[in-house]
Amino acid sequence: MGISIWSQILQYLVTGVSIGSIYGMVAIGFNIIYNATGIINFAQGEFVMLGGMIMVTLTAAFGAPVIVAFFLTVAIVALIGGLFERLAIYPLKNAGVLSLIIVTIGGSIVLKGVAMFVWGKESYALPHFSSEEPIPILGASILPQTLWILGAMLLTVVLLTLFFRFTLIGRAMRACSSNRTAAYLVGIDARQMVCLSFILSAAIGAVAGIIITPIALVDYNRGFLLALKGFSAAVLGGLGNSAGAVIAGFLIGILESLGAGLVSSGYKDAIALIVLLVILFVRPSGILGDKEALKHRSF
Amino acid sequence: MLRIANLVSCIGRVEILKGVSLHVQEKEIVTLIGGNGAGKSTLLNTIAGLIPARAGRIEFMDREISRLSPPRIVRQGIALVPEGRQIFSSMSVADNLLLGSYSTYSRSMKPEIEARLESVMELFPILRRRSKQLAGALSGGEQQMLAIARALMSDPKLILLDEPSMGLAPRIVEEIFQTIEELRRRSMTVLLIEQNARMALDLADRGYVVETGQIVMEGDCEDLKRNREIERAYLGKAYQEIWE
Repeated sequence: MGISIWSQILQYLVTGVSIGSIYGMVAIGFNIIYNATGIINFAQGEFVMLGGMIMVTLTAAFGAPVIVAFFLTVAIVALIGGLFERLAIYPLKNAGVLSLIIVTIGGSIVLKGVAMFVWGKESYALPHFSSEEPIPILGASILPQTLWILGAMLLTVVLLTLFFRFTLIGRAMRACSSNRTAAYLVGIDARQMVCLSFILSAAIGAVAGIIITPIALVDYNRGFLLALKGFSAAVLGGLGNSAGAVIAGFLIGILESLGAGLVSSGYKDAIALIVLLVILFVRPSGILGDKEALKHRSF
Repeated sequence: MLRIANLVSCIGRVEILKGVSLHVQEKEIVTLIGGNGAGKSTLLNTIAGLIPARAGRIEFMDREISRLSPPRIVRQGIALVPEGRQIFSSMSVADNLLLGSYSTYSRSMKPEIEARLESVMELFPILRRRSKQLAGALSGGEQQMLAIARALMSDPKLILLDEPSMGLAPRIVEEIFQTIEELRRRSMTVLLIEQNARMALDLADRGYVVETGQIVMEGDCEDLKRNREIERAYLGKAYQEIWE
């Protein structure tokens, strides 16, 4: 029985959008820290992995209800993010951007190692949040979990936008990325904002990890690829630009899923890297990035 | 109000201030004049805490502040309007002003901050009209006004102005100086750095002359204006004119 090519493509699009949402969220995590500090936090993927792992542990081992476990997990990972900043970034008072980036790579290796020590090398699954019965649409089928993922991503973006636009702390964080000296002069403690940016990024990473685990499994090494693809999305969207991150996340997710379906699934992971390379060659400021701003960046 | 004694401060390994002493009394406008690289900006940045003091004392309202960080110095009531304005250019004018009140912000302070915003907007009506625009889209003069307005939003007792006329058209400079005059009427204390020594000396009560990191002269502005050395070096009069 032949499924029409269109419904197949539609199916790939659906898959692409759901995985793309995750890439977008990881990219937003990169952006928040980038905007506050100018560094790329390579431990971002580990926050996602920890989100999945801790959620699995809380629900499976301790039998916590999903909603309680969700918020508890986000809180724990946010705390880990904040601690990571205080222990690894904060003490390096006058370190340059490059050294700090290397520190985050070290941090990522440590977090990965600890995770392997705690949870071993096997993969874990999480039950879907609601029914696992696919919803048929135009010949394709959508898992309810996909809707959860999309919803969580959109909600995160909306909440973040409100936070950065309308709260004093959110504005203070933007002020720090706009002009650090001036932020200092009006009384904003930039170092606290840096800590806050790690907490926020870790929390968003945790949310991404929790919602993806029901359809993608999680193991200690899961963070690396997610971080790589999220980073590609962040660069494609224009570093520091969260609207760009979401669009780019979808783009990479869809390209990946179409590539895997129509060409060969062997190339799936290569696609994000190819996109990253092409962007860096052709338009290093990304699709929504500011070309002017790029000139002033120091690395 | 502000009392500085034997202040030494360095940028990198270069000693910029070599033992500066000065004082500013309440409701006074004091100006620092001196050439480029004399250390005027360094002095203001050191008072504001951006540059650590290596030696000496800075006392504000009888409290030693030379070891405090910039956010804590703002809370003491000193606001610096930095050289080159340093506004938050990617944010709206309204957000810039709100952030100016960051150091004093709390829920219970809201009405007072509203009132402060109102009085600042009265001082700079242009900012009210521009309040939704991005600060980076303002003209140079408007940005300078925004920078001063933002500093005023912290409800300072002492305001430090670093070259407010830099790069502005004469008409705008005139306007900025009128604003400083208005600050005097609102009984603000001002420490002003200015390239345009004549305007600064016309406006201020007292002045200090800074050369290579040291105070070489001080006095009432009227006296300073009549001083031959100052006329020659900073007021642009040729020797000939002076001796004739």
